[in-house]
Amino acid sequence: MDIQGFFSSFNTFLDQLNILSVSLLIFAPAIFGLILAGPWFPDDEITIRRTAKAFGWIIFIYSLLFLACFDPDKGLQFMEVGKWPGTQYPWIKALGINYIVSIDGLSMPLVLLTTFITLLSLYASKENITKRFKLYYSMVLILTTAVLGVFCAQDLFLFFLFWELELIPMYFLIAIWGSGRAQYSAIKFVLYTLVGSVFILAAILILYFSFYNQTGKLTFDMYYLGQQADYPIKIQLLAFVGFFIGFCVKLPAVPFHTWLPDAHVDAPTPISMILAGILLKMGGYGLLRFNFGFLGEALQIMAPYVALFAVISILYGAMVALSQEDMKKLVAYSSVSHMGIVLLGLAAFNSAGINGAMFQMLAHGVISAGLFMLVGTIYIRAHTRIIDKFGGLFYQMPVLSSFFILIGLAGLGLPLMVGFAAESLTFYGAFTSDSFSKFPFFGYDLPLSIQFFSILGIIGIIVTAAYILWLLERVFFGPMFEKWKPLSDTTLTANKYQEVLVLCLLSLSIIFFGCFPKTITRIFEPTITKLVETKTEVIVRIPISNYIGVAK
Amino acid sequence: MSWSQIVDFSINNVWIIPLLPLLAFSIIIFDRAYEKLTAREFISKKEYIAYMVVGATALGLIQSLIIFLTSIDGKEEFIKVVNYSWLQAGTLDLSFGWIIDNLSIMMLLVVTSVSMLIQIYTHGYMEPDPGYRRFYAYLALFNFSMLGLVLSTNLFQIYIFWELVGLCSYLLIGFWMDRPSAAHAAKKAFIVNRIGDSLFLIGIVGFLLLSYNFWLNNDYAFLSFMHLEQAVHSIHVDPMILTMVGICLFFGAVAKSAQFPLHTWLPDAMEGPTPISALIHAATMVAAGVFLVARVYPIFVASPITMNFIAWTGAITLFMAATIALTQFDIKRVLAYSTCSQLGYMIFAMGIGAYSAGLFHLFTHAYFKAMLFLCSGAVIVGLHHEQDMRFMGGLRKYMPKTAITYLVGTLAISGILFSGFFSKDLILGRALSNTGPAGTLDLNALALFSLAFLGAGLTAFYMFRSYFMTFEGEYRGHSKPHEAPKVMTTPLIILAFPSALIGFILSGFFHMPDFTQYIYFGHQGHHEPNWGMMAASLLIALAGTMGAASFFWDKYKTIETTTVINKIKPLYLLSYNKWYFDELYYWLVRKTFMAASKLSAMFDKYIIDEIVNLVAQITKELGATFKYIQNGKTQFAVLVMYTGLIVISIVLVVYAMI
Repeated sequence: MDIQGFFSSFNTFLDQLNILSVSLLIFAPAIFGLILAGPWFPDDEITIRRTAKAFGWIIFIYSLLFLACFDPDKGLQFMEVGKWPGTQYPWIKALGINYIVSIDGLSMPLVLLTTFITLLSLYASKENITKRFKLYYSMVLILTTAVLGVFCAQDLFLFFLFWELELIPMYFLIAIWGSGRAQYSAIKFVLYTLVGSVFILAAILILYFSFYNQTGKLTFDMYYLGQQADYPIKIQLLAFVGFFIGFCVKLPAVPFHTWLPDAHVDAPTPISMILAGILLKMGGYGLLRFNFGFLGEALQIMAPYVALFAVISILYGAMVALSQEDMKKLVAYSSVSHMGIVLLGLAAFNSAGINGAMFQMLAHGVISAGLFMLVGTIYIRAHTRIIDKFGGLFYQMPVLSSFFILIGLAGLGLPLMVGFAAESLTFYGAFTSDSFSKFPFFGYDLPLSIQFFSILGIIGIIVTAAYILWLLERVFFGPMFEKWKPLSDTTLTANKYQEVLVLCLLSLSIIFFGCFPKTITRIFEPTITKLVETKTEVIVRIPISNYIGVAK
Repeated sequence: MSWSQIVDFSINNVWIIPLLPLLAFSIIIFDRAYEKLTAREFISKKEYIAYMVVGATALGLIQSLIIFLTSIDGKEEFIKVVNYSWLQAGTLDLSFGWIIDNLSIMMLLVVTSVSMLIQIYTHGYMEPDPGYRRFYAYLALFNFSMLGLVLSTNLFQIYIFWELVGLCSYLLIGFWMDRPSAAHAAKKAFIVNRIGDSLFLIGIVGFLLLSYNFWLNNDYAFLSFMHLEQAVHSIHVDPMILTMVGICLFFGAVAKSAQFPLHTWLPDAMEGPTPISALIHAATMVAAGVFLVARVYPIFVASPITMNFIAWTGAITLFMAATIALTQFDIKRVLAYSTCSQLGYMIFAMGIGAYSAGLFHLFTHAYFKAMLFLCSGAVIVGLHHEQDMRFMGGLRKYMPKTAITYLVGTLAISGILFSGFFSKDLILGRALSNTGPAGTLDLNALALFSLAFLGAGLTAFYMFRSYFMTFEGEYRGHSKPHEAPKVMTTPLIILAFPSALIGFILSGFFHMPDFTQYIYFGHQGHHEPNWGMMAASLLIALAGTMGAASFFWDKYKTIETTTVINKIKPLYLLSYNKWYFDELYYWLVRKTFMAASKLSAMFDKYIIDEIVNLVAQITKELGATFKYIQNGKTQFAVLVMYTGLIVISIVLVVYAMI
């Protein structure tokens, strides 16, 4: 039997089994969490850890089954119509709130990223979490439910509900198991995101009532609000700004980013991995789903400002990262810089740019999770993260150092690793884009095209190389310090294989998807390209030759 | 298996050539069997690593030779391209593949043959080093990247391997990572190359933007080299824009080939082990810049300004690096600046339109420069890691094989009858003919020619200076010198043959095969030997040699030398301090770049974050102030209620009256 035949028969088998339910995928982690948290569960550290990891594997494998049955060329899939209790369940009829969950090309890769990073962070929890295991693991699992809900909800109200739900477990995870100023950082994270959420809620309500005015139908269903509506441009701009601010806080884009370094520094390692690997992607997902998917015309108009935000995030994030003294802060600021590329792809407003933005989110998801993991492994050995205190660690811990160098190089966009494929797709997209050729600035049209902003973005990768290589030089190379003689790859024997397992899985995905990027772009490319085509149909395109000066 | 089957297999499966070293690399890094061995056992059994890597390269060399023989059989130029889609989004489709044409075949031959010899030599050089395995792993990885670069079919793919060879260079320069200078040099090399690379990337995307419709409307792989010329013709924009795109693309080559003003990383790269200096920083990787220029030549040719820019970059580099090499004492640094200078010749040749001559010089230079570096490695090993030429001298008696091969290399690079003579002469001849027919005078071309011609004299001077200081006169060092082991001298002797003869064999004179008939741009040209130019370049080389001999043969550190130096002190210091480029760049980075970074960090900490905290603080204060309203007294609540009622009624009344 050939491989294609095998997969198609496997698909039919799964279809007939009828076990693929998005609701189950979303709520399974929460149910698992409750199982772990309840008084009926034995209060034994090893059992709890093992069960949590088993749950992580179950969720991950379950999401892989979704991938196996996923058809990239079809839109929304796995709708639960007439299959499962809870079918498009009218939840609050009077307000038009429904319970609809489904998966499409935008959700699928992020669902996979979520289950993957969650699984790895459960493994990474071994050494970093030393108290209140029951609560910890159940919180992580409940958090997963909230994030999966955000990615799968097809109703705006439901989306917002999950969006807010995610804050509660995260608050406790940072506040209880964090270090340093954990309380401050946790509160800052929650309040900052809440402020952003207010803008999102306002934007949601704008769309909701505007749709009501047009059609007399009260609904939060994304299908109606996104595809059936034709909002006036002023409404679109208003909603755009609301969504943009809210999602930029989460992304984060400069100047809404200051919660991120604090939250990262004080969160325990596995939570940093989740924060950088998954939670930031919620912002990017929102931008793609709403600012681009719903409000394409507004994005077309706002593209210059989106590009400005993008470039400021890329350059500023990288510049600030360069002078950080704390390794974790450096990685946190590198996140700011890398997520700026998502914004740049969005501003490009063509298929390559937006696919690149999506790809960049996935790439950053694995790379930043890996970097935080590595910083954590060094921290539990050396009990410090101050870069200047290190030197010559390579000879003490060759295995971990090699992983650090590998993933660090992936972070600076080295070819044949996933970051390069994503960044180059975005830059190619942005440079060949014709989304804007003038930058409107208080009534003046500055001659700054999207190409100009892409060039600035490309210059940002020089700074990225500088801060990552300088970090590697100061920490791993140079003469060895006497103080670090006792360090080794195996200081914590029990943990070695778990750390290496996590890092191997991350490195493998970095290299595999870097060498064969089509395997991953295949999942989301058809959806995004189709969306771009529908969005650009209505808009009059300006030929490129208009602003690069045709020779006479 | 018949010969034609072998040929077909080799051509259709050319990807095997880069893949074998990658396989060797993977085996070395994933092989954990050695962990079970004790250190002593490992030392005696580690040869298998060398056998594996050398074997992989040797197979690649054999396959390249088969392809080469096929390619010279036919009358027509031989081209084969295979492309696979690598990344696709909407209409953008980036592909990955391999190309076989005369240029890539030549590069395949150079890379596989030089690396194989150097990998053999490495066994001798690195034998006592604890990092033996790691070194061979990196070497194999480099071979993969370099061969991939050579076989790239399009600009996008070449960028991938461009960065990968940069990575290998980074890893190998910093091989002895416990030395701060090595770690620093590695970082510097990567970042300087990143600057060039990002301009290169801007050039690539810029060119893609200009020619997007061409790729879209035709069924070619995006940015493929085979169709660059057509793509350039399809572009109808302001020529200035194409010039700018061309210059951006060229900056990729500037960084990789260590051209002015991004040359400063190459001399520092000598912190790496000597085999690496020979392989990466002399023969192959640094020549990739010239290879790139050759690949995207149609874009450059389309704009005379770009071509002139390229020519001047090359000319300035070749002259500047040659003057610096005059006064250095570290033998490897002399060779490093000489590499810089020779690469300048190649880039210069490209810029003045001497396409074949530039690549011919790349070809000959790869052999003699690799050999010179390996000789210096043998000297360094023989003198127990002494690199300063002031503590050498008279080594010909102790290490005759090394001395003779070094002399062959010196003659070759100085352009005295051995292979460098033929390739450099082609370049100078073209530069001279560019100055125009007799009577007219093109000042620009004349200035370029004079720099290149002067450079030839300087080359002979500094190379013979290093030869005399190292091998002639009295021994001035302390430790007892000894000849390098056989595994090191054998590659030297093998390399001496191409270094001496390859220029003559491919010169096209006396019914010899002609390199310029094999690789050319546009139409096949035929060059007439320019006897006058040959005599002139031979004369200036001999003059340089005589100059070096009069100062350094047998009487280094005599009073004459010091008096001469004292007479031209400022010039001497300028040369000795490498024209102060390092100081200038260091100052710039410190004062602007790092300062900007520090400033941003402060701004982030004390302004943006403080504003956020301030907002929180204000909210808190407001809450603290207004919480006293909620004092739980009924009277107060009723008071507020009625006040509110009254205010609302007044507002309503006033509103109704208006």
